[in-house]
Parts: sequence; C-alpha cells; structure tokens
Amino acid sequence: MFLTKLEERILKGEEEDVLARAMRLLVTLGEIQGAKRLVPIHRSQVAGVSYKTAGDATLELLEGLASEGATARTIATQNPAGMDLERWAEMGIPEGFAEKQRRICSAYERLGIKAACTCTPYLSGNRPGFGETIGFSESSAVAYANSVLGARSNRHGGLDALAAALVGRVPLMGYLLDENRLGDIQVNVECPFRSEADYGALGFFVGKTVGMDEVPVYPRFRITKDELKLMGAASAASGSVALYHVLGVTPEARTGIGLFKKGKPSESITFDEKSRQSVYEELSSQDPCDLVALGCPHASLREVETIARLLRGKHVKHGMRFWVFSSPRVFDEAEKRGYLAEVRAAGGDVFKHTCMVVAPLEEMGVAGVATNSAKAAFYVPRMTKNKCCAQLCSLRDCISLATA
Amino acid sequence: MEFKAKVIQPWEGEIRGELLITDSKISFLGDVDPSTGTVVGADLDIKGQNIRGKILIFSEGRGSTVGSNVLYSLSRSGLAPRLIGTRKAEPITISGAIFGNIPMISMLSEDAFKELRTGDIIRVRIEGGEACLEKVESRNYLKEPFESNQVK
Repeated sequence: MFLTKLEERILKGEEEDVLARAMRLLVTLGEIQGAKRLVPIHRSQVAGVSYKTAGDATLELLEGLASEGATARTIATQNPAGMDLERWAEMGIPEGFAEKQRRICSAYERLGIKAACTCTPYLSGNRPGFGETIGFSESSAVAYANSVLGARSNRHGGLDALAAALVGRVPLMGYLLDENRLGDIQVNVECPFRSEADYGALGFFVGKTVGMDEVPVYPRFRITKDELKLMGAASAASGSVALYHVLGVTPEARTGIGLFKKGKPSESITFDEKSRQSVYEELSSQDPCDLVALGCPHASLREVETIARLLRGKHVKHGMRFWVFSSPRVFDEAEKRGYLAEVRAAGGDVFKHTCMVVAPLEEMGVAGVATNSAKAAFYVPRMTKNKCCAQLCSLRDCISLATA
Repeated sequence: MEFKAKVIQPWEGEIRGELLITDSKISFLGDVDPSTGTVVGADLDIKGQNIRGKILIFSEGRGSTVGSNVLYSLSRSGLAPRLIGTRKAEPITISGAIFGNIPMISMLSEDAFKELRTGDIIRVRIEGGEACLEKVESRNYLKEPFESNQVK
C-alpha cells in the first residue's frame, strides 16, 4: 500500500508508539482488502463502550492508551454505554458495573472521544454530509450514514474505528469506492407495511439473506427517516448490510438509473407475508414481558413526541416498566418541549447514554422485553444469555401491552 | 484432502486442533458467551459448543461491530479459538483477530465446508504465502455416546 512520508514515520513509531500500533492495524486491514492508500477522515463513531460488551479487556486497553496521551484527530463520539451515566441507580444498575462503566467513558473522553454515548451520532451533533468519508463503527450508524445520508464509511469494528480516530485516516477501500456502492440484490416487497416494526422485520429478513458486501435495493415505497433507521439497524444486525438503497428515497437512488453493478440485479429476493410471519415468529417469545423498551436505534425527537402522545390518558400498569432510550441532545430537547413530563406522567421514563441491548438487563431484574425494534428483539436474548426473552411488536401494541 | 486458503493474520509454525465448523454467519457479540466461550446464538447449529482452543470455521462475520472487542476480550481471557477460518473475511472479524493475535484464514472453498465435520482433527500451516488446511483424523463416532447423533 502507498503511504505518505508522514504515514511511514507514524508506522515506524517515530511519532508516537500508540499511533504506530493504530497505524499498523489500519495498514494491515487495508492491505488485506486491497486498499491502495489511506484517506483522511474528520468524523468517527466508536463502539465498544458498554462495560457489558467491551469488558475489562477494552477498559485496560483504553486506560493504557489514555495514559500514553493518545488523542483522537477527528470529531469522535462514543457508542451507548451500559447505563445512563447520571441516573444509573434508578435503572437498577449494580454499583460495581457502574464504577467500571464510568472508567471506560472517562478513558474515551480523555482520548477525545465524546460521551454522547449514542448509536445515533447523526442526531446528536456528529452528522456526516453527503459524500463525506468517515470512520464509523456501530453497525446501525454505518448503515444510516451510508444509505440515508450518502456519506461513505466501511463497517469498522469498535477497535479499528478507535485506531482510525487516533490516526485520522482510513484505508481507501470498500464502500468508499463508487463501484462498491452500486446495488446487487433487488428486494421485492409483496405485503403491506402494517406498522413501523414491519420495516425492521423487512430489514431483518434482508440482512439474513444477502451476503457480505452485497448492497440490497428496495423498491419505491413510503418510508420515513425513523423507519429507515429501524430497517437499516435490523439488516446490519441479522447480517452485515452496510449500505442499501431505496428507490426514489435514498440520496444515491433518486432516479434508479445506473443503480446496479453490471447494469442489473445479480439476484432478486422476495419478502412476502410468509417471510414476515417467519421473522415475527423468530423474534417472539411465549414468556410474558415486564419491560417495554423503545429506542433501538436511539429515539429521534419525533419518535419521543409520538410515544408521549400515544401515552396520553394511559398509565403503565403495575409490574411493567416502560423505557425509551435516546441520545442526550434529543433527551434535552424532549424535556424542554414537555414530552418527557408526559411520558413520566403515564408511568414511563426516558433514559440517555444507553439502551436495552447493551445494558445488563439480566442484572436489572428484567425477565422479558417487548420492543418495536427487530435489532433489539434479536439481540436481547443473546446478550442476556437467554435469561431475558424478547418479542417484536409495533409501537401501538407495545403501548397496549404496557397499559392495558 | 488438502484445502487452500488466504492468510489474514499470519502465525509461526503449524497449528493443529479440533474443528468446530458451521455454515452460518457468526457475530462474536451475541452469538458467543464472552465469559465462557460457549456458542449461545439460538439460530446456530453449533449452539452449545465451546470455541476455546478450537479451529473455528464459519461462513462470515455478521452483526455488531463490537464483535472485534469481544474477540479481543476472548483472547485476553484465554477463551479464543486457536484459529479462525471463514469463507469471506468480514472487517470486524479481521480486526478482532489482529488485535487479539488470533491466526485467521479466509476464502475457504465450498469443498472444505462439504468435507469437514465438527470434531475432525485439522492441521493448518502456511506455505508459499498461502494457508494449507488438511484433515489429520476424522471425528471418531465410535467414541461418542449414543445420545450425540450430530451430523456436523
């Protein structure tokens, strides 16, 4: 791979040792995937923040890096932590966990990676523009940035996103290149969308079906930004979709002309009533749930407003918890507009910095989760070693479940 | 039978170990329990098996980008596989393998997935810049209790 003189010096450790290690990782990753050179980035999203998922290994690594004085060269934001950094006790987080979590977030902050602690950096002050090359990890954020914003990011791991933030560069490969952004698989949708959860079910199905590096193309249908957020997160979780197009909706598929590699789809897949049912069956549980968890990815202001409105005149029944997860920016605005008060008046709550996937639900007394996010419904049982079950249902059904 | 593969994360010498193979995609976050190395992903045919010290072969990585951190963590705890082999090398798996110093190969052929079975003893070495994987010993069905009737 071609390296500039500065990049060579960094690799040899003539700048800082930490940078040398980060550069080595990037160069290795790049060479394996045939990158010809590195390109600069100015935005990063770094996953591997929750103590539950990153663990002691990442904590040690981070504190080591921070003590060596490493600093991010990009605008960089942290992914969700395992708890609300301010109100963790209210969530039922054990103190030992809280102490380790606080240390992780603090180490990242010292590295210049801000504790926005959200999977929606684009709603929280770190929003890439069309065509902008960035180094994001967090599979749902990569999918959103690439597909909905038309930015350019590869699917970085938490660790190599960190390396890229420290060095301020990423290998020029994958989704940074025009030809890799064209569509592969044509998705046919043969059943109506009954609720926002169905978009997640569609994404979940597509993610499972298409292979790595394949770009699905959805037909022209009505879909909002919030629904795109759900759909992209699902296909990035059940599979590894980093970029998709929705004909006539997403910025790189406005006309559909020249949309496919080789001029036409390499394959077609169909999502019909049977496919939808099989997704809901896979993401269902017979066991009762005691937590309605919304905001995966983190709720937008519009979503919080909708939830507040649907909760009016209702009350969360005894024994149920009703939690909405969001980013600090959305939380603050929701508070100003009175949405927060409305959710609380109904017996629910809104938390920031965390979510139902990376918080240690199994240590918080949660038995079962109902959610309108296919991604969350997929991860919760796995993340809790099957101690906590999950079911996918629409927002309205979640509200009925919690307040009936 | 010998299978060739691309070297992603190189190693010294020869690696020999017991194979754990699946046609499925794996996310190290969620599909594997980081405190024990046991596969917990409900839709995986190798659910219940432990990856520690195994030659772990799967189709490709999927899911969470934090999988790289989990793989690193497994390596630090001594629970990582002895070697990782895939059809396609997904970046999250690669960065976890590099950070965790876990030997990794990819571009394994369809024949490898057809011929090899969980439990086979495998030997992998690097020759001429390529990885060569061969079965040393087949899984010994006669040694297994009647209850275990797994095909793979």
